[in-house]
Amino acid sequence: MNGKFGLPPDDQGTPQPDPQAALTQRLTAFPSATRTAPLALREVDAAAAAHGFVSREQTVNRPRRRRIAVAEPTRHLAIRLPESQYNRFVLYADRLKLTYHDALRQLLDQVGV
Amino acid sequence: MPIIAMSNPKGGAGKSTTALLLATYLAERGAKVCVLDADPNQPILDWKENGNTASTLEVIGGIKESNLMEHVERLNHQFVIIDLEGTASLLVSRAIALSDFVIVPLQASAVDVRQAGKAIRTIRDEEKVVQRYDAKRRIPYKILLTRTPAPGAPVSSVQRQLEAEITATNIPRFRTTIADRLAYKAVFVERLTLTELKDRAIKVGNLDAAYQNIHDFATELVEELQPTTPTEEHRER
Repeated sequence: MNGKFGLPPDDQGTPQPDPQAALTQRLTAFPSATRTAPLALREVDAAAAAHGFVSREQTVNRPRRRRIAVAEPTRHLAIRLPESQYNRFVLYADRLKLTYHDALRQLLDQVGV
Repeated sequence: MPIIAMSNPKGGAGKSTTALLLATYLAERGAKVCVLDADPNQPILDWKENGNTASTLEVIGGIKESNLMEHVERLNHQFVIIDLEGTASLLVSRAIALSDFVIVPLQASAVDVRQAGKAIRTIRDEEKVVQRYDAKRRIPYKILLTRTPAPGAPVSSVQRQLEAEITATNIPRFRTTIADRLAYKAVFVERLTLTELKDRAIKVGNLDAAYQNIHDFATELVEELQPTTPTEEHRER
């Protein structure tokens, strides 16, 4: 027995766990997985706007487009799509100076549909 | 795949530094990690692309309001860390709504704390929004004090008052703080990880203490995160 207070020394040689190895082991429990996160952006944005969070990005403008008369009957197509895809499509049409229906026709022509 | 956001509308609070140190540390410990660099200055993308690091950390830049969701849905990493800009933008709030955990770094200054309060109120409101779709969904968060004095050095009265107020208001905080260390600045200057700084014998303060600091923080964070199994919200790729 050593020391003024008689505490027994740890003479068993108990190995101390390696904290870094323990963390490495714990990290393996986290799988690599994709995330599908459908969020109602309008509501998310509205909640944030109440605290002063606003868009810092330029939104895509939708200039008036020239209507092109077509000989055949026309049908209306309404598409709801993710904002990112919407922006890509509008940018594509703007870049090529196409109306939306001309842009869509050009894309369909490219894939041979 | 926990998504971890760094949020404080105040610039210079330590978001990018914490994101990079955490991400490189987790990657070094064998995890598959991606940082989405949503800071307009792209400091982490610059670190990755313009340096010679051998870190396995993946960095994706050019994150915007319009493409954040798209990027997140393409990733299949163990950890995704979003380094957000120091402004109150919709990009920030959307990232918060997507996240599984939000770290709110702040220095012991009145401006940092007030802006952090804005982030915390937004997190709470975004949690209510996402719970309309999934009642079990939570967006946990914790304050992380950054640029604190190294252990043993005197603590400012401002920091003591801040810590007392955090305790009084029951706002969750990390026990670990990120100390103000030369090594953390050197990580950005040299564009290397802490380990790489040590391996190359670059003398920038106490690297061992810096490494231990990040280890303690990463360990505390990982204890907060729950490994998820693929469910209807998560699927193996």
